[in-house]
Amino acid sequence: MSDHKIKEMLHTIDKQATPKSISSGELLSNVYQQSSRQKKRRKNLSLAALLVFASSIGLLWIDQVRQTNKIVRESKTIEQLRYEISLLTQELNLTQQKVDEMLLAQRHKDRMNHLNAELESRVDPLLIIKQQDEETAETIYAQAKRKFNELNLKQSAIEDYIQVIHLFPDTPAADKARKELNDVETDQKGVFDEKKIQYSDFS
Amino acid sequence: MYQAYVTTLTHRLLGWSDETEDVVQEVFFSVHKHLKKFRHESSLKTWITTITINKCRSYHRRQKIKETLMAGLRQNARQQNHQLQNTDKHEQLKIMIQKLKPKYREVIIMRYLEEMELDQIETVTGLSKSLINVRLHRGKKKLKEVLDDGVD
Repeated sequence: MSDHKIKEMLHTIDKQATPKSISSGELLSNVYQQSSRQKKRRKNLSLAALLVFASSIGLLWIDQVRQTNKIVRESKTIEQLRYEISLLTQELNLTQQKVDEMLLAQRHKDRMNHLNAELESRVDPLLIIKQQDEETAETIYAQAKRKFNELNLKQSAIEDYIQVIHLFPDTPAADKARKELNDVETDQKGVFDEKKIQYSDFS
Repeated sequence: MYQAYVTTLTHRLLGWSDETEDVVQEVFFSVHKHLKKFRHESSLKTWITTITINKCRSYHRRQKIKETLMAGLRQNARQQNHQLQNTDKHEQLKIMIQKLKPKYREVIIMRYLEEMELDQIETVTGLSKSLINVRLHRGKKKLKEVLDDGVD
């Protein structure tokens, strides 16, 4: 089949298949409608995009504000905590100081108690001396009484009584010696005049 | 002014389909939209022809996707083959033109119905002359195969 034949046949077919006629007015109207629809769609899309953009900016701004507020709140909280920590530290220092003072006082008190206990445990040396004095005085007195009553050494006995009274005046032996001397004086008046004078010096 | 021309060309390029009206509307909408961009490097008719060809190509692409999705191609092809055996040569040619791949149909329509020279076809399609010749040759071969079989 030649090209010419094909061409001829195609033209025949084309003539038979006439396209559906479209009125110019309808076409124009459709094109304008499509155009306006597209414009409207673009406008809506632009508006939507703008809205989305504005929303995003708004959300970002809100987020930023929230973040800022959060930071401010946290800063305030941190400051407050720092202040509370400083107060607690001061209180702790004061308490520590008081505890130290109390411990020191307790140590002093313990030391004092210890010393007092130690002091109380010790025997008074004056008492010992007094006791020894009394024993010595008692011994001398006993010897003097023996001399006077048993050995008949009256003069020596009187001297011993006087010695007891002279050396240990505040002892019971001295009191007894004074009594003995007084008895001797009463019994033998005039014999001990000289001694009496001496005795009166010690009484 | 160009409405009749665009309508006829579209009708032919779509294989005398009933969907012409929509594509014509698309063509004029595109013309209206891009008229400011027309640089007068070619005639207005050539420019509109190019737009028409491109819109028809887009239509074919959409149709192809649609047909693939519907998966009814084989059934249609079988029916068409059956029809070919029982119709006259004009009808057979029409069905064959409709069956041809759009890229072959496009150059055959422009060459034999629009009676364009190769230079003009080259301008409006953006294809090289050699490619146009190859497509013309292959298209004709496919048509001849059917028509000659019918004759035998």
